[in-house]
Amino acid sequence: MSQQQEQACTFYLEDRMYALDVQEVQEVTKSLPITPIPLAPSYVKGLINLRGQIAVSIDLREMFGLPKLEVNEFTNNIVCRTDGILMAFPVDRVGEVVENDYNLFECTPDTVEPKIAQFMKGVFKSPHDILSMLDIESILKCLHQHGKALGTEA
Amino acid sequence: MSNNQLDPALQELVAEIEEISARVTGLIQLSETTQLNALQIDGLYRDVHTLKGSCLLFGFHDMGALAHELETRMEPVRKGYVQLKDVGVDRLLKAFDLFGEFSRAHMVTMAPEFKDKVSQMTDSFKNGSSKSAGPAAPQPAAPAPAAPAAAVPAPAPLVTVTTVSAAQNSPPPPANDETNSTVRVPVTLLDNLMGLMSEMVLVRNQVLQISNNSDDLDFLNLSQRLDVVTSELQSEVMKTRMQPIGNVLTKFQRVVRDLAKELNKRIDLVLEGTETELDKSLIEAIKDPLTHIIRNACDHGLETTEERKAAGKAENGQILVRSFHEGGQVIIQITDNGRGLNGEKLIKKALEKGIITTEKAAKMTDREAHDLIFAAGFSTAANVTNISGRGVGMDVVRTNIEKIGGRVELKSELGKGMTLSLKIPLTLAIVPAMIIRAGQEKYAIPQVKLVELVRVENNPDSEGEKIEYIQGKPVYRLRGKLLPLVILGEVLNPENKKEQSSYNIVVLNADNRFFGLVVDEIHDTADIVVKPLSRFLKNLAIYSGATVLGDGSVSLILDVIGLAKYAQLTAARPVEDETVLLAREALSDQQEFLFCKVGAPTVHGLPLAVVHRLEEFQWADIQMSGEIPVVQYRDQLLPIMSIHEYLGYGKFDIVNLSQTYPTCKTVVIKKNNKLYALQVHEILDVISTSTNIDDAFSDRKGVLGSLLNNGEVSVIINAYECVEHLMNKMAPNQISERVSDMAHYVEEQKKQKAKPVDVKNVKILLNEDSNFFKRHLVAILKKNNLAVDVAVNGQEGLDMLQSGDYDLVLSDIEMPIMSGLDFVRAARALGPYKDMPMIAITTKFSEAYQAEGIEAGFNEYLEKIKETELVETIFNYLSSSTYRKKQGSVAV
Repeated sequence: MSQQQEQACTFYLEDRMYALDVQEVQEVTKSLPITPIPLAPSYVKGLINLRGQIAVSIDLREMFGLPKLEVNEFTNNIVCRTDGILMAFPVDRVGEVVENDYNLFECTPDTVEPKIAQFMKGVFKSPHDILSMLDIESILKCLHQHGKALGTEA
Repeated sequence: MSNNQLDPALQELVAEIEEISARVTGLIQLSETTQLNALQIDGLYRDVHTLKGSCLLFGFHDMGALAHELETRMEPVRKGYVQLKDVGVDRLLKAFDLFGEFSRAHMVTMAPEFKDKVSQMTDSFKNGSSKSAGPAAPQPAAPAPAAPAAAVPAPAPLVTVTTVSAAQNSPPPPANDETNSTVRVPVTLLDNLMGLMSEMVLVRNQVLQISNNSDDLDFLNLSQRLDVVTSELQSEVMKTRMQPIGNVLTKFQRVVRDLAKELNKRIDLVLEGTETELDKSLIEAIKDPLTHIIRNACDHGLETTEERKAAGKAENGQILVRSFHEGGQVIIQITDNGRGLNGEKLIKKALEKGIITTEKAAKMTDREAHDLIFAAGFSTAANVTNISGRGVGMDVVRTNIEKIGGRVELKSELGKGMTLSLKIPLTLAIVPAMIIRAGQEKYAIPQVKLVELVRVENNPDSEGEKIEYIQGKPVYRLRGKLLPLVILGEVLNPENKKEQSSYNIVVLNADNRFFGLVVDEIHDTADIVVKPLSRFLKNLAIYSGATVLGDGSVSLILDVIGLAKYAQLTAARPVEDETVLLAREALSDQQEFLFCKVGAPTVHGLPLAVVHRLEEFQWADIQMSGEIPVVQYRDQLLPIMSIHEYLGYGKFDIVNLSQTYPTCKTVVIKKNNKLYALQVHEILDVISTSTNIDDAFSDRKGVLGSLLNNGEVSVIINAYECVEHLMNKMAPNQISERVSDMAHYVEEQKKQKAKPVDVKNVKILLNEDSNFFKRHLVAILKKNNLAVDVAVNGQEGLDMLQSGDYDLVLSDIEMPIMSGLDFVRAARALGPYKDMPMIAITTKFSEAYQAEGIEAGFNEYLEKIKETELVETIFNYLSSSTYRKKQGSVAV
């Protein structure tokens, strides 16, 4: 973390602001038709055709244990590519891209629910808000861990 | 150079050495049997020279020295003083083996032992060199590229250029014709190209879909051009990855040669179709299975020379490897003329190893016994040799071939040899698939796994086809065998259980275990591009990937084997091979009849082959439309005809009947895509019998003949004639046509009588798979003194056509293995049968089908069981045909 400044793409889930490192975000898309994957974990919403590439739609609300919200035509997706996997996260609303100063970075407070805290890098204390920086790696790690158990359930 | 990632220049060297070794080895072996011509010798010399230059350039002095000695030994050969043979074929081969070993090790580690081997080999050539008559010193051609290279050990970037120039510097005039026009490209680039191509195919598909719904003509034209260009581009791009299969096969010359020596057998390896091309990755994938098969053939398949002599066979055993394209697949057949598989021995062995049970063994057919060699842990060789027979054999072969979407088939005849056929898809990236729907979503099923599609109208009360349950699990009787069913909708959504009125069953083959997948709808077939699912979904074994369909939607690709496992089907016993089933069906002399009462003392029967369904209606639902009783049935009016009335037993009296019989029972017949109901009083039974229909009184209206079954005589009804009568009643204007038809026919008959066809030499070929129609048609032909031979499918028909001499062909359309349409296309393509009269006879009768039949090459497209029309047409063709068969001719 030699850089002092870092850009983050913000978005809202259940009126809470989250952010992902801009480097990790490939694009933001409008709602796209989803092909559900029967028998997949419920937070896997399905597959999306992203100009011929296939992205998996992952519902962060469900992973975070937030109340469910029906995906509708206004739902935007934040598309990330990590480790060769194309993931689309439906979000309630996409916010701005903000510049974060590392001097304002702090670790996740202990009181944050572990269900969400496990996916957080930490928080940025911007003048108006406190941003929850998400860690895409740990989200993916969690997906893989759950994925391993998939075949054995049946 | 200790890192694993090879320098690109070194990679080139590896490729070059491999290429040269393969070429040289081939030539050296050829020299054993034939004298090489000057051009070949020159090529050989040039290759060795290049090898030397390249090795020295990279600083591999040991290898360079070896190449140098080889070159020296080659020199007198090139000058014509010495024969290549005299240099010692074995020794040369071993030397080139060292080069192979060297390149395989990627030159990174030069083990001391290897160095020793190389220097020993070098010495052996050096010491022997005095033997040669010509000047031993290397000729000036060599040193030019070698000298600077020796000074600079391994300068990577510079090397690429020099390697190429070294190759070009070699003697130019009788240049290797192809080298100049080819470019060497990294495989990754081709892979990327393929990937992009697949994307483009998808975009094309989407554009086409939009343009089909558009009125813009320009756009339509453009999209069509895009379609054509893309298709061409696709096939060209695919070609770039194609390699002749000979690249692998020629290596086997060596394998077989060495094995033969070791086993003390005499074996000829014959390669056919080495130019057949296959995707590079597939070639790699089949290399090991092929090696195994060929080693097996040498070791187990072929007998020793003494055994062969004793069996009266040629001393040299032969292994024939044929490769060719067929139906979008590459087929590689490995045939040996050895001892073949011994079914009994195989069973005994399998019992010993506990692979099968005693009961199962008792029931096994020869074919099933042969398939035992594919069972895991099976090896019959009494002695485990180091060549084959380690118990990890054919099962691995089969698994590997199936992994790439291929199939292995086996044919064997005891004492004569066996043939293994590998059927390999042309490429992996794009696969043909069947698109089906379950619930709201579409899914793709790779077509290699698909056996057939069956639609079952489920009526639990009916005697006919239906879904049944064993311990709560659905099954369907497919041609008498129980087919376990998996209802896709329930697998995907366990809460979703619903009764259906009809079932679409996709019969799938999961590792030779058949099961029926019940889907909601069957769509189209499509070429799909397989995209892997994200790793964290990999464990969902029922999917093998996803694809983007033509309409831009994403579909999951079902993994047939995963699905079978998920539904716990793997424990089910394997269903017999489809071809065995079909063959059995064709062989059995059984015909099935539906017996019923029609208000006459005798039991009446209908051939089951013509029955579409059995339906029961309430008497109150039957209404009269004019003179014809009709009933509402599946949103249409179903006309009913009383067999009772038609056969003259009395009037069809609904009021009277409704007092005796609670419901109106009908046999539904499908004709010209329309349904007709024949009313019967009672439905008795389906009886399977092997007795022939006695057509002594078939001249009676609506009757085919009589049948003696268990001492009772029953009347067999001509259902089609009944339906025809009903149709005529419904459309009176057609009757007049028919009458005039008849008048015309009578005229024709008279003419024929005046100018009769001499039927003495006439021979007709009939392709027909259904026993019922087979007998019926044969009877008609025999009645008219026409000789007939019967084939049970198109393929057999085609074989018989070529081996016999026939004047006319009658062919059914729907047949297993090869349909009538494919038959006629294939037959017409064979020169001699271009003008032969070929008549399609079918129950699949509509204008569209008729047009399709004529287009395929049939002269005439007729309905089955229209005796008069059939006979008339046959005689017309026989008398007017210009076709002359091979021997003799039709006398007119």
